[in-house]
Amino acid sequence: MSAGISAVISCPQCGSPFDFREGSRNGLCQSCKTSLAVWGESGVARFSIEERIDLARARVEARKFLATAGVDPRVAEKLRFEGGELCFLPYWSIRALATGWRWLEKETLVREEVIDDNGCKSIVERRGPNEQQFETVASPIDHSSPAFDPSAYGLRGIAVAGAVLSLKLMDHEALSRRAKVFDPVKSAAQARQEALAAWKKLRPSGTLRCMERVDLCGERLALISYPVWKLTFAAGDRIYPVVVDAVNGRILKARFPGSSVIRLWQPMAAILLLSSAFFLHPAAGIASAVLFLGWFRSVHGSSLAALAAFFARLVERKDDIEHG
Amino acid sequence: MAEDVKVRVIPLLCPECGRSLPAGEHDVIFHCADCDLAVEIEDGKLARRELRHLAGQGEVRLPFWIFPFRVDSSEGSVRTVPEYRLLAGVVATGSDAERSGPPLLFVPACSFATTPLHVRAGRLLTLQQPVLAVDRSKPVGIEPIVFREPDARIMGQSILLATVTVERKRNRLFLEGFSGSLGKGRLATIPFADRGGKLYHAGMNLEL
Repeated sequence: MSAGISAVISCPQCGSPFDFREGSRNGLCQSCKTSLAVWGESGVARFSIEERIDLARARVEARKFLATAGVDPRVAEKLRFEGGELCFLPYWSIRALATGWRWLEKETLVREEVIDDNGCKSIVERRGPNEQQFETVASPIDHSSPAFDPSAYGLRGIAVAGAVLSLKLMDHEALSRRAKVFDPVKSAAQARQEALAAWKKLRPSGTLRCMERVDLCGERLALISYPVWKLTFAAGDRIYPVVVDAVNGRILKARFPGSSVIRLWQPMAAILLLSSAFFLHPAAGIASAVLFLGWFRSVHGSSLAALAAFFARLVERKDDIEHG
Repeated sequence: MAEDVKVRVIPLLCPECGRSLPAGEHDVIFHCADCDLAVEIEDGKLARRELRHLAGQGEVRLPFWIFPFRVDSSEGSVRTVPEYRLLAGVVATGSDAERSGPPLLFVPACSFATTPLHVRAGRLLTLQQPVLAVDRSKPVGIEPIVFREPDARIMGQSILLATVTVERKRNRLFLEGFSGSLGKGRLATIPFADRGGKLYHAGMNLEL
């Protein structure tokens, strides 16, 4: 199991702060030497991680990202910062022992030495008889998964393993006063199922059939709220969101307008072609017009609006740049 | 939201003498050596848990969950020790041959250096089906208890199956029909002598 991250909690006996490692059940107050157990209702302890960067720094990180993500500098200059909100996103952290048994039927390979007509030896691999295997399972699990829909935020897991981050016992009220706190929509049972399913995927190669009864025991379950900045930028009448990791400033998810290109060649060429054809002969002009309309219909569709845009809209914006 | 997740910090104090109980990071049951009392957290409160000490020679006391059990499989039901010995393919030796009543499953409540060792300890004791007397004296120290009864029940299923002969475990039909029903668990400590890192129980001639 990983080293875990430590939380600062007050001792109910003497009021002194004491260190508590996420993933542990108990700690010791260094001041009064009282052993303390951390117990959450339903067996779940809830923690939050302090943000390390403020709104101004988050904006700077977003601007830095603009410079490196291929956004047109002229478009980037026009982007107006609209606002920012600190959000705390909940993640399940499960440490447990996957215990049970597994029966596997695996294919085997048999190596045979073959001598051909010329007397040359070679090794040939053949499929051998299937092998049945039973194994007792006792494997540690360290799983983290979002307790909400992460698609809008781009953060699919928090690096609990080996991280040295300060955890705080969750104070929902105090946190809600200065940030938007998301409550978990995924239950502990679902998180357990996910952890087990992730473990079950790790089957040995060559497995043909598998039967298993595996369950989690010695479980230590925690909900950790992770901070992110949700920023918005505006360009014209469009709003672009950016999600910045409030611990390390990484851009988790962003959408920016693509660069603009001046598109002169195609409409100019069409006008030139049609006018030259009409100048030569009206029949050639009509034939060229028919050919042009056929090409236009196959590429842009048959609407009049599309035809008007082809000749009138000479500045074209490329697709938005998406990240995360 | 599915769960209410308020967190409480509970001081681990002996309900008898009021002293702070020694507690490792992952301990779930806490033992007061002075009062010889065990407590665990139930619904956010400290509750007493019965803990027995079994007789024997040795300075290291390992905690075990002991469950009476019954096995149902495609080969029939196992309800007695002789029936269990047939299932496990072991021969009774010495006075244990006459042991009656339901067979007992031993699940370590402490952690071992590796999980295979943990399963091995439970498997060897279960295969032995020992008859052990209760020791009334206070033990000096007990290895930390890190598995609760519900955890031991889950682990017990794989330990129980680990005691069954290899031929049966390769048979898919046998495994499909295999189910072990565990009775009420009792927590007990068994003494082992430390022999240079290996633990030895003279009465059972068992080395872990």
